[in-house]
Amino acid sequence: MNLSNHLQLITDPSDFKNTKLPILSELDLLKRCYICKEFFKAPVITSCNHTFCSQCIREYLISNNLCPLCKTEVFESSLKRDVLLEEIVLCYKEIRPYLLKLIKNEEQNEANGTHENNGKRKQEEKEVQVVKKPKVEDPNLVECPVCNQLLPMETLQNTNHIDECGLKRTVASRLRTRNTSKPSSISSFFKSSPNESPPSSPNNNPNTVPTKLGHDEYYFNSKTNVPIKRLAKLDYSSLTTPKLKEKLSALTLPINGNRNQLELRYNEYFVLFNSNLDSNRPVSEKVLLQKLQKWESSHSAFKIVRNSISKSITDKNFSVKEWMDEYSDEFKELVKSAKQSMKKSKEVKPEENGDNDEMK
Amino acid sequence: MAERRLFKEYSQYQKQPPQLNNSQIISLKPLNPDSNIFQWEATIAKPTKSDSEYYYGGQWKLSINVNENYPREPPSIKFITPIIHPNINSNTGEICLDILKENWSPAWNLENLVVAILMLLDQPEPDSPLNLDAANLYRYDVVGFESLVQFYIWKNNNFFNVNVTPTSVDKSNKLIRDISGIKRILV
Repeated sequence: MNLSNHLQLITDPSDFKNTKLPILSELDLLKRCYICKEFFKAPVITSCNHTFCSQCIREYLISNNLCPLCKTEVFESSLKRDVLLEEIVLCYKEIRPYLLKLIKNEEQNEANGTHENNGKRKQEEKEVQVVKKPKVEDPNLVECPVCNQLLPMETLQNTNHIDECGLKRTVASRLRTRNTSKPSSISSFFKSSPNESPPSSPNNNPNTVPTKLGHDEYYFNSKTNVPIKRLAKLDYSSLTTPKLKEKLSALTLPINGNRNQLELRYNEYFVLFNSNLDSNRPVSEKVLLQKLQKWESSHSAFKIVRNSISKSITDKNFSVKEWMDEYSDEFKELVKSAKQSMKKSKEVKPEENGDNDEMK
Repeated sequence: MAERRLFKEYSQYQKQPPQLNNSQIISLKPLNPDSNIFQWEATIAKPTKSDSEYYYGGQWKLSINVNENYPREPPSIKFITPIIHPNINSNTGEICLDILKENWSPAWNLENLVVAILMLLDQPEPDSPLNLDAANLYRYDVVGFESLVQFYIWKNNNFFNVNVTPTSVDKSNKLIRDISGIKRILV
C-alpha cells in the first residue's frame, strides 16, 4: 500500500474543522483510544475509569503497570468491557461519513450563495467536489451546488443563477430529485425515497443513507452476562522451554523459533485472544491465528528465523558445515576487519603515548 | 499498529502543522515518508531572547527514530546539531528526559515530545546531568554558561534563520551581539 492510499484512509477529529459544526471534532476525539488514536475497538475501562481499546491497553500492560493517562496502577485483570460504548462507536463510525458530507455540503452552498469567492473558499469547494465527483470530464465546467447542473465557472460566479436555483428549489423541491441523479439537500438525507438511484457503497454515494443500523437492537437484546474464559498470563521465569512449547501447542500455536520468539508469540496471542473476548462481535480462533501469523511476518524479532528455520545452534541436527558454507563470506569479512582494526590500534598506540608525554 | 499511528500523526501534522501551535518548532516530518515512516526529523529554534534566556538565536536538528513497538515504547530522539546543555550529551546528542524513558506514556505523540525537549532547553536539571561540565557551569556561573551556549551556536553556525552567509566580520558581529544580547553593537 503506498503513501497516498495510507493517508486517504486516515480519519481524524480535524476532519470537522472546516464544517459547519467544528465542535464535533471534540465528540470525534472522545470516541478515540488515546493509545492508537483510532476509534475504540472493544473498549475496556480501567480501575481508574479511563477507557482504551482492549488490545492497546493489554499490550501496554504486559510491560507496564501504570495507566497511560493518569499513571495510577492498573491491573490487567481489573479491566472491564464497555458494551454500550462499543455500540455507540460502531454506530457513530457508520454515520460519520454521512454527517461529514452533510455539514460540508451546506457550507459549499453558502459559500456560493453569498458570492464570497476568495481563494480559500475556492479551494474548499474544489476539495469537496473532488470527493464527490472523482471524474470531472471538463475542467471548465462546475457543478451548481443547488441544481447539480454543469455550468461554466463564470456563469456561476457572475450571474444570479444560484439565487434563482434556490428559489426554484423551494417551490419545486419534489420534482427536483427525479431529474438529477445526486440530490444534495438535507431533506433527502432524512427520507429514503424510492425515486433515488439505487444505493451503491456508502462511501461512493453519501446521500443514500441506510435507515437502520441495528446497533440499538443489538444492545438491548444481547446477553452480555455470558461467562468467559480468558487466557492466563504466564510467568516465564518459572517456565521451562519444553513446558512453554506444551502450552503453545495446546493452543494450536506454532512452536518453532527460539525462547524469546516463543514468549513474544504467546504474549501476542494472549493479547489477541483476551481482547477478542471484550468485543461485542468476537471473531473465531482461526481468524486470531491468521492475525498472529500476519503480526509475526511483520515483526523484526521473527525476521531472522524465516531465513534459517531449524538452524538454531542448539538444535540436535544442526549442520556445522552448512552453516559455515552459508556464512563463509561474512566470516571472511569479519576476520579481515578484525585484522585491520588490530593493525590500527597498534599504529595508534605509540602516538597516544607520545601525546601523553607531551602533556606531562 | 506503530505504522498506522505514525501515518496518522503524519497526516495530522500535514493538516495542522506543529509550527502553528508552537512557533519554536520549525519542522517535524518523516525523512522519507514513501519508503520509511519510522525515521523522522525535527528542526527546533529559539529565535529571540524572549524565547530562551540562554539559547536565543539558535536552531537545532533532531533525529527521531521510532521503533515498531511505538506507542508502547517511546521513540529515541537525539540532537544532530551539537549543543551544550546539562542534560544532553555533547558528543552523541543523547537526551536525558524522563518522558523519553521511564515516564513515557503512549498517550503522547511526537509533537508532544518535541515540545517537551524545547521546554527542557530552558529548564535544565543539573541534578541529573549527562554533560557534567555544563551542569557545573550552569549551577555556579550562569553568565559563563550563557556565553558557552552562544559560542557553540556561533562555532557550529546553527543560527536561526541563516539566509545571509556571514563573512568573518559578520560572524564576529553576531558573536558580540549574541553574547551581550544587544543588537548590532559594532555596526
